[in-house]
Amino acid sequence: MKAMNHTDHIHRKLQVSGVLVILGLLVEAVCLLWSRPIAFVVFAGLGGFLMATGVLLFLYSLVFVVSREKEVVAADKNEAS
Amino acid sequence: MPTSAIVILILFSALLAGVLVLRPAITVHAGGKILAFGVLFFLPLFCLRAGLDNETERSKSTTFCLSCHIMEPYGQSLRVDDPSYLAAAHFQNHRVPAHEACYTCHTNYAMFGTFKAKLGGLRHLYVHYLKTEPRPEDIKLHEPYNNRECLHCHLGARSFEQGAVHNADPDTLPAVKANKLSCISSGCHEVVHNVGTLDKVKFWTE
Repeated sequence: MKAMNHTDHIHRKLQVSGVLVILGLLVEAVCLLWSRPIAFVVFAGLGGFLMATGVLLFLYSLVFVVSREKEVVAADKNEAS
Repeated sequence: MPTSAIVILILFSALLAGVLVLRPAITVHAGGKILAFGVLFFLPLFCLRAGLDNETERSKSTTFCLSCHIMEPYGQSLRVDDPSYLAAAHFQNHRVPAHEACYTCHTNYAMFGTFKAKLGGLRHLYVHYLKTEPRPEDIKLHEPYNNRECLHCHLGARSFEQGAVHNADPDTLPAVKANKLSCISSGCHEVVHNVGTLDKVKFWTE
C-alpha cells in the first residue's frame, strides 16, 4: 500500500514537472516566432524560469525516489518482522 | 541553427513531455526512465541553449534594434546622404556589417562585451516600459563612447595610422589610442547620428 502511494506521488511530481517544462517550451516557441525586443526578456525570464523549475522538480523527484524507496523497504521489513 | 528547426525541436519536445504527463506510469520501465530523463532534463536544456543563442544572434541585427519606435530616427540617420555623418558613412560603405550596424559600434570590445551590451538593452526595455521615455534626440549613451570600439577596426589601418590630420600633432595618435582624446567628441568626428537635424538633410536611396 505504501509502495502504491509512493509511486503515485512520484508520478504526480513527474506530471507537474512535465507540465512546467511544456509551458516553458511553449513560451520559448512563441518568443522565437515573435520578433520584438520584449520577446528576449520573456524568453529568458518566463520561459527559462518555467523550464528550470520543471527540470529541478524532475531532478528533485529522482532524489526523492531513492530516499523514499529506502524508507519503504525499511518499513516493509519492520512490518514483516 | 535556424529558428524553424529550433521551434520544431521545441514542439517535438513538448509533445514527448505531453506523453509523460498523460502516461507517467511508463517511467516504471527502463525505457520510460530514459525517456523521462531525455524529455525533462536533456531536451529542455538543449532547447533553452539553442533558443538563447538564436535570440542573442537576432538581438544583434539592425532590424531588431530599429524595431523599437523610439529608434526610428536613428535608423533614418544611417541613410543620410552626407559623408560627415559618421554612422551613415559607416553603414552605407559597409565599414560595419549593414545587418549588424548598431551592434558593431555599440557593443563593448572588452571581456563580456556582448553580455554587457545585452544588459544595456535590458535597461532600454526598463526605461521603455516603466519610465518616461526621452525624446529620440535627448537619448544619451550610458557612458562616454570609448575609442576602443573605433580602434577595434581602425587600429593599424593606413588611413588611421598615416592620416594627415591624425599626424599633424605628434601627441594626437597616442592620445587617441589611450582614449584620452575622444574620436567623436573632440571636434573631429562629432557628427554621428544627430537625429535632431534629420529634417534638414538629404537621404540616400539605394
